This record gives sequence, structure tokens and C-alpha cells, in this order.
Amino acid sequence: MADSQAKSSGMSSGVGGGGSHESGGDQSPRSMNVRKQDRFLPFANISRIRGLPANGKIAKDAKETMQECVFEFISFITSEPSDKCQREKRKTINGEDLLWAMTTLGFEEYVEPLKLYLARYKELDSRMRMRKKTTKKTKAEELQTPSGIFTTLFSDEVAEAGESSGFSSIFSVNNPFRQNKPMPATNKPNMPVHEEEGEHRNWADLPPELTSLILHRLSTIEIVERAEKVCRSWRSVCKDPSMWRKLRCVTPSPCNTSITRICAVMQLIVARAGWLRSIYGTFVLILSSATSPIVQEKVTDDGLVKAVVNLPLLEDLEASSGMPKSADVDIAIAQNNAPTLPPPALREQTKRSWIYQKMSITVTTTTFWTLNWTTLPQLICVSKCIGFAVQEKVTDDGLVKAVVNLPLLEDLEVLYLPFYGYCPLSGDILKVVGQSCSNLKTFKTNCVDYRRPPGMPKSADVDIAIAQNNAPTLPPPALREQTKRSWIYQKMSITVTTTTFWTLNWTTLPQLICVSKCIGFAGKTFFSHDI
Amino acid sequence: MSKKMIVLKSSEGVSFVVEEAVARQSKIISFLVEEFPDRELPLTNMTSEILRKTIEYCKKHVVEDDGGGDSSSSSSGDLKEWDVKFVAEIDQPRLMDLLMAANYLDIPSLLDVTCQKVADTIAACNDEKEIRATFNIENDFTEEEVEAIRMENQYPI
Repeated sequence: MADSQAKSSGMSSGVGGGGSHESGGDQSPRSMNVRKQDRFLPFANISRIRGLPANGKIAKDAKETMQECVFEFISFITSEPSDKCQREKRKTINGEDLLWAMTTLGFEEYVEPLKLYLARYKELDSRMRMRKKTTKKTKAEELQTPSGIFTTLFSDEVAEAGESSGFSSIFSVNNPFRQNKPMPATNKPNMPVHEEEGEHRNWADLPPELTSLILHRLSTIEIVERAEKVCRSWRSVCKDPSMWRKLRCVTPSPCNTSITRICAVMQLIVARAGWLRSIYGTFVLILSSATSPIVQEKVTDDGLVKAVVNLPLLEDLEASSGMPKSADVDIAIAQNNAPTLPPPALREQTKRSWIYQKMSITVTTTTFWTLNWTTLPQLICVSKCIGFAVQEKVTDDGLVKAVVNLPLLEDLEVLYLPFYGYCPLSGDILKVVGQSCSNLKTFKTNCVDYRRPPGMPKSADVDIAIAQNNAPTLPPPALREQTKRSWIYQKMSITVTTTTFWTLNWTTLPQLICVSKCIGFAGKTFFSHDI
Repeated sequence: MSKKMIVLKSSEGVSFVVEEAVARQSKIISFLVEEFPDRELPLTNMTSEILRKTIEYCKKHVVEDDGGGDSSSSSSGDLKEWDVKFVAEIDQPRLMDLLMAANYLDIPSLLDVTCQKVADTIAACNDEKEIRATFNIENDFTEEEVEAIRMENQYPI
């Protein structure tokens, strides 16, 4: 419907030409006994045009105009193949004729999509026919020229020598409900559609869009594992890209699906993702799992990483309860998604927590250091928000590796889980952090207190490193002195451990013209004489 | 306020008289009513049984919409329960008809309920064979296709 609408508007210049063809001629005699409206598309179908807002309506005269346009267009587009068929002594216009006409009449741009449509329709139709071999001969003949919406209409119109009974047949193809009904009806014309026979109703006959509607409610795993293997028509629905706009990997319960199956399915999804990336701009990957930790790890390691790596356009990833945010996943997302993330302003304002959440990294020893950090500099905005929530100890080397490649990093969060205990970072490392990430604004650690209020950086070592590099970007003295005093105090307060304190390169600190004034020491081992 | 009645006619020619508010839950009927105010509306592709079911659903929902002002949360919960019961009572073939009817008449909530029911049924099946049996779908894959599916689903484990 939307097609014909588009076409009718697209051909407005050609309408005049169309009128001069047969349609103009036989319109008047027929309108004597057939109401004008009956010859046009049923109104109801116009009202079903998609793309209107939910409560949108089309004015009556607009609908009438549309009716006429569509009618005019149909007449126009059939007139050419009609002549051609007469020349070639054929009785039925087929899909190819119409495509030919589209080309000659200057609708080249529609030819390609229509070809596709035609091919699909034929495929579907041949399947239908295989199933309904008993269909009456005449009907079968009609079906032998399947070519989508237009042909069904035109085969009527032309085969009956212009005695078109109306336009209802156009919808027998287009309208999913009607599409199916007439078929069983031709088998047993006198019976209601579902009597005893109803027990044998074949659900594969359901129009694809409805099947799709149903299958959309299944999780990705269910689709890959079962629905896809049911029959051809379901399979083609499952293969449709629209089916894959959302990946819902909800594992219903641990006992239902084995761990290996989940992994396997994830890998399948990965395989799909490869071809998906070119088709859709937006993916929503919803991964929720109520399964055991083992599964979580397996899933992330085996499938998810690869999955998201292949989803460069992924915009949202929901990992609901029970599913830890794996480092690999998050980083992989980051690697691929930097360009499509929301613009900084929006993100800063509304999505801050979201991004924090998405980008926080829970790392296992095995996965963390295998990441290809060298690609991370591309993460202009994302890297700002990367946080580390380290399960295992972050080794110094690792952290260095990570931050060295993140020149634009602004926020760094290193969270230690309580059971790993206090784990100070060495001064050298902190210097590296500070020097590598000159944009670093916040650096959270929780050496002492795991539940630190968010957004409040406190580590001395880190702060010094930051200070070393950030002096130029600190607020101007006046402003800082007045309003940000406490902030600076806090930022610059130094919690020092013996091991780290003396390794700091204090010689760079004099650059901190004003800041140094505010440095306070709150150290375990306290040495004030140095300043 | 006087309630306007609308006549709907099933494929067998049985007429159903329903209140306009009930029928208007179908966007298509709603539209047709505006277009042809005083005409019987023939729904030639719907059997009486399915039409009756559809009307039953619409009636229930229109009542709830009217009266559920005060205790909306509980009544919407009841309504959900009622919906579940409503689709649970329908057998497979009729469910398919009802689903298509909902789609044709453009009643989103009914379509939603029916689709969900089918999806739940699918989800309850353990494998594709069970789905085929439940939905009476014949396995129309050729051997090559079966092989292709098998290959596709080979996982390196």
C-alpha cells in the first residue's frame, strides 16, 4: 500500500499520459452500472497506510484523491503491457511485463525493489501451490502469473478483457487476512474456514508478517534453536533482517539450556551479526541471564565478545541482573561504537550514569590483558568514561598498558573488590597514568573504602599524577580560591604510603603554582618536611 | 446517552448487533463506521464464531475502559487475567483465525494477546518437531536444506 502511494505521488506528472490510454476509454461505460467508488481501492485499505502517527487520520478528500491517483496509476502502468500482450497474442499480463512497463514509463527506480518483491512472491506462491495441489484449475492458472500486487489485479483486468470486477483483488495479496482466506475457501467453498478441517490448520500458512510478529516475541536463542528449524516459511521469517534488530538472549532458567548450548548459540549470533552489520543502523542487544556465574563467564568469553565486535552500530546494550559486565564486551563495544555514541553534551547531561554503567569494566585476569588496547585511542568520548572495577588485582603493567593508549581518557575508575584487600598503585604507575592521560579529570580508586561516593576522586598518588599533567587546565586561581576550595583540597589531599611517596617526581610539582598551596597530607606515614 | 448500534455481518451472513463503542476498538470498523454511518458492515472473511469471539473480547475491554476509573490498577490486572483466560480457552486453529481477525480488524490489544499466546506456546516446545506437531506444520525442508541447517548450526564446542 505504501508502495502504491509512493508511486502514485511519484508519477503525478505521468498521470495525464495515463489517462489517454485505455483507462480513459472504458471508465465511462462501466461507471454506469458500477459505483465509482467500487472501482477504486476500498477506502479501508487506504486508511491502513502505514507510517501515520498512531492517532493520525487522513482527510476524506485526501483519501479520495489517493484512490483516484492509485487507480489512475494502475491504469497507466497496465496500459503499456496490455498493448504489448495484445501484440504478442497473450492474454495475461505477468509480473515481468509490468516491470518492463515500469522501465519504459520512467519508473526505473522502482524496478529493482519490485523485482525483489516479485521473486519473493513467486517463491511464497510456489510453496502455497505445492500444498494446495487440489486447487481448482482456473485458480491455479491465475496463480501461475504471480507477480505481486499489481499482477493479481491486472491479470483479472486484462484477462477478462477489461471487465475488471473491481480492485478488491489487489488486496488479496496485500492484505494478509484476505490473502489466506480465499485459498482454503477455494478448496471447500461451502464450508466455514475452520470446521473439523480446522484441526489441520497449517500455521505455516500464516502470513509472514504475522509469523514475524509472533516470533519477535521469542528470544534469540529460541529462534536460533527451534523456530528457525520448523519449516521453510518460518525459516525465511527468521532470516529476515528485521528479526535481528534486537538480540534478546534471555535464558529462561539455568536448567533449561545447557551452558554449552548457550555458548553455541551466542556464536551463532556472532555469525549472524556479521551480515547484520551492513543492514541495520541500530541494534539493541539485550542480554539478560538468570544463569549461574559459570555460564556468565562462558557466555562472555565464547560468544558475546565476538558478537559485539561484529555489531559496530550497536547503540544500547542491556545486561540485566546476573550478567556481569565483562571487560571484553564493554571494551569491544567501546572500540566499535565510539562514533555512534550520543553527542557529548547529551551524554553528559542525561546519560552519564548509563555510560558509566556500560563502560565500567569488570575484569577477570584472563581476559583483561589480552585486549587490544592499541585501538582504544579512537575512543574519543568513550574513553572518558571507562572505569575499572577490578576483580583481580590490577597489575601495574596492565594499568600502564591500558592508560598509555588512552590519551583522551578523562575519567578513570579503579575499584578493588574488598576481598582483594588494599592494593596501592606505585608512584611510577601513577605518573604514567597522569602523563599518558593528560585529559584525565577524575580517577577513582577504592583502596580504602569500597563504597566511596561516586564522582569523588581521592587517591593521593593519582591526584598528584593528574596534577602534574593537568596544571594548565586547572581553574584559574581566583575562581578556584573562591568557589572550589574544598574541591581542590579534596583532590589534592594526599594519602601516601611509604612505598609510593618517595618515588613521586616532586620536581615537577612546582609547576602547580596555586594548587600546591592547597595540598594537604593525610597519609599513613606522614612526612611534611618535604614541602 | 443513547448508544448507537452497529451491525456486523459474518461470512455466513449472521448479523451481530454491537454497540458502537465496542466495535470502534477495531480501527478498521471505526473507520468504516465514519465512512458508511448507516450500513451493515459485511466482514466476509470472518466466520460467525470468530466474529463472536472478537466481539466478546471487545465488549470486555470496552466495559473495563469505561468503569475502571477508580481502581484502574486492579481492574487492569483483572483484565490481564481475563485476557489470559480468554486466549487459553481457544484452540489452535481458532487462535490462528482470531489472530488474523485481530490483524485484519486492526485491534492491537487483541493482536498482542493472541501473538503472545502463540509465542508462549512455541517457547513451551522443546524442539522443532514439537512445534511442528503443535502447529500442524509440515516439514517442507528438502534434504539439502536440512543439511544446510545442520551445517549452520554446527558449533565448535
